[in-house]
Amino acid sequence: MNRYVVRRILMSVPTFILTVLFVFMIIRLIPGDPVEIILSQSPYTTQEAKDSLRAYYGLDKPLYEQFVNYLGQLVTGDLGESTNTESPVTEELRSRLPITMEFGVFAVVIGLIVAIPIGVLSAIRQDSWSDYLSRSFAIFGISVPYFFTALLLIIYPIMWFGWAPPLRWVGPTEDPIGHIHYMFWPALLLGVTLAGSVLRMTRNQMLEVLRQDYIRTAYSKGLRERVVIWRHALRNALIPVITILGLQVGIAVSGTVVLEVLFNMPGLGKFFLQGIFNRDYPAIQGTVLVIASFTLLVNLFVDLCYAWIDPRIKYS
Amino acid sequence: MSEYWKRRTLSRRNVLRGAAVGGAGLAGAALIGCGGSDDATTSSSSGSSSSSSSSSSAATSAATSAAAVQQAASAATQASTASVKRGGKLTMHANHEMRSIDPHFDTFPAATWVANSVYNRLVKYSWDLKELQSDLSELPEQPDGFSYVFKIKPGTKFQNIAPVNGREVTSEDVKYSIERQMGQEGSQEDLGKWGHRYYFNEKLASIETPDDHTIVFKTNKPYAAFMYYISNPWTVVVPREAVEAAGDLTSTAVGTGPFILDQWTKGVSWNAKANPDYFAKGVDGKPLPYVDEIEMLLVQEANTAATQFINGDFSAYATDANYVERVREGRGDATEIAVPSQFGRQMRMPPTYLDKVTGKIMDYKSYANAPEGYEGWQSYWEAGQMFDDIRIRQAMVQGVDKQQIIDLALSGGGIPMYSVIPQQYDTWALTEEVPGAEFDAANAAKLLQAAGSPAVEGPFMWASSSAGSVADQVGEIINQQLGSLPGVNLTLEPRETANYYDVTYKYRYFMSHHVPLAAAEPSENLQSYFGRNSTYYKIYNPDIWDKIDAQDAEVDGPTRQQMVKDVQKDITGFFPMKFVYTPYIYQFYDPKLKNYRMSLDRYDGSQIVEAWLDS
Repeated sequence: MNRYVVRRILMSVPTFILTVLFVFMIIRLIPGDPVEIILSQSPYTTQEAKDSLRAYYGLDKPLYEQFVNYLGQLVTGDLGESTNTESPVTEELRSRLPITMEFGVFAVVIGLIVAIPIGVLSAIRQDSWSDYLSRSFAIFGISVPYFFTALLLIIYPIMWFGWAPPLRWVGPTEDPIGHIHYMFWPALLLGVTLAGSVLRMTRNQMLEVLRQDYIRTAYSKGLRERVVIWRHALRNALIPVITILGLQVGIAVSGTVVLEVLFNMPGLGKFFLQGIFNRDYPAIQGTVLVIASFTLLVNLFVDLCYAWIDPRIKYS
Repeated sequence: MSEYWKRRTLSRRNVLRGAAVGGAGLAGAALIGCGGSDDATTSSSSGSSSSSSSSSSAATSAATSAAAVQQAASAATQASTASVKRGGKLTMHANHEMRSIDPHFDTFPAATWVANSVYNRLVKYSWDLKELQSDLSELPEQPDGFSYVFKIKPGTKFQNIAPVNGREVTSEDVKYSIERQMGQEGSQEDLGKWGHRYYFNEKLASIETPDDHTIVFKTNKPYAAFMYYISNPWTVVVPREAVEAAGDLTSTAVGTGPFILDQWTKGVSWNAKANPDYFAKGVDGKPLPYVDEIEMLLVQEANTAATQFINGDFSAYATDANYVERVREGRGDATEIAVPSQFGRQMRMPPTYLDKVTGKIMDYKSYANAPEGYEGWQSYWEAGQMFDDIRIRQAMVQGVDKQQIIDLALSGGGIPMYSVIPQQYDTWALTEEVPGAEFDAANAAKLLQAAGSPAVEGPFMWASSSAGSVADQVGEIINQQLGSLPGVNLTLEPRETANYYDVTYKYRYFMSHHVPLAAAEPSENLQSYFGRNSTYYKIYNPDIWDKIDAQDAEVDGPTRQQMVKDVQKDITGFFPMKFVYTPYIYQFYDPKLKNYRMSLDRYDGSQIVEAWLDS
């Protein structure tokens, strides 16, 4: 097991470096110049000012040299200085990462709470009205973008009912209940999107498992339906579901970008978007690195979960 | 000193007259008012002395109409002095993130609101930019055409927090602050941070401090914009100790102002508590401000901000035409006032460009005559050479119908621009079309024919995201209008903002629809875009450069006013671009918010000090 974990972590290193290289290059290929953005408010910008600013951020060097310098910085844990906020990127990420993590986890939890029971119900009541309803819900979750439902939620309830979801950021230490209330709506919107795929996968896997011989055997032994479903069927149906869930992390992260802006949440997503608008290379690179690392870790965790769910799986 | 400038030695009154002509009127503003207060209209006073400039403004008719609107607007938001209430938390809205809160670095309005809450200037303008008011200093005197003498009000102190701990403000603090604002040229720190160094850099001969309360600024030559820049929202007085303690003021703020910064949560909000020792007094004789606390919510997403105002999350809110109907419907009790935006709209043809070897601005003909293979050009758009022919430029200008754009894209919610300075700055602005620049599609077609019927083909770009939500529609309309001219075939290129900046500030474009920031000071508009050292835009026209420089050095208000109008006629008649329109900004005020108007200079947040809450 330990060897497996070490091997997986080592295998992540090339992925990590390729991610760094890809992000480093792609952001520089997009038209736009951080120096022009920074100086765009100054009416008498000289070429000397542009050059000195470019030199300060190391943008005057050849790309390969910039990349090597960046890798050198990374080794020391330095993600550079944001050209937009003028603060160290690590400092910015440190304050924002917990918020986005919390948001993402909250959304995934809501997604699972919604998707697993409904998926199971949909499978055991196949072709009933509840099945049709849950399948429609799944299609809704998959097909309607969360930013669209978020806009509907922000625009219309206040006009029709005089109610709006909380849009003022409330910190967890400032008001824990208010914080959960604040987090609930964006997490619900993202959770419903995540729930769509998970629900469908749960239903499909459950339908397959419920037709297995050992399930019939369990029923014939006189076990109650609840025990058969939750102990015997669901556990075996979960492996593909968990795989899907691991892949959903990427969707959850991209979801935070838009929803954090719409709900005024000071997380990574908002920082990332600001970074793109301002061509803030260090901010974009740093954020993507954190997200990539997190995604790699989640997928490693998912792989490790397989053995817990299905003891027949060995890591050797 | 020449005899000319000796003759122009000015009295204190003349200083104020010259300065006040920099004020704006409200031509085109409208009180729409759906609700509002029925309180009496007596304005409160901060205890500051003031000098009204309305009598000195040469734009009498505009000032008259502005006065009527001002009176009505005041009625909507001001209350009798007897009914002033203290206490409460005032929550406001800003639609920008702040890079930092250093008033001498940052150039975005959200940051000036911190600056104007925590710091003070020597003098400042009223919300309508008509009246120069004292702030840290009494109104200045000008013993000659080059000197400005300010007297700091005795007993004015910094906030009673570390590292200044309530010590008195001295003239050395003012000197330090102005010198800091001018930046450190050539130093490691000179990295584009000092966005306002041009206010005084190379303009001041000396800053003298004969005693602790007197500061004397001497200019190299007559500098008409001096009073505007010294009263600018960014020109605040900061204590040296605070800068030295933190290295800079990017994340800390300690000043003399009415509020003490409590917390800044990046990307979310900042809040500040009332300074109990603030030097200015309210109508009840106690220190301002009236409210105990202010909170500024930083909400960038326009839909979210509209909902938050409807929901009562903040007390004042400004938006553009796209959201105004929803806010009207959701907040029928709010007072609404439409004012022209500071951001006008231009339809540009390509600038002339720089030779990076010689550093000189070159015209298209010089480019055409450059040796083959010459690589000295900073940037250029070769197709732009067709605009060497003034007839083609004029045809593009005459082919655009600005009123149709206002009607179609803004539903009438805007006013035409006739030249560089938008109409709300009525002292300086042209109020009718310059001959030859008016819409005349038939003449435009004739001009193109006379120019040899060229194929005017190329991209027409704009910043789709930052130019406002109607920018795309404006682009479409201009394209259709120009497309009706023979041989004109533009390709629409809406661009993401950073992408647009990259092109526009390197002058690599054919035609564009641009959103320039306008100010009440003529030089801020003229020098930045059309002066010899401008970088926002470039035209090669030494006559125009000279005239812009000349008005910069003319401190007699009425004379300067004429010079400014004349040079605008020259610029407009040179047809580098079409000056199109200024859209309305719709301001909404919660009825509980009293005695407050957003400044017509959206960068100025100082009006908040006299606001109070009726609950």
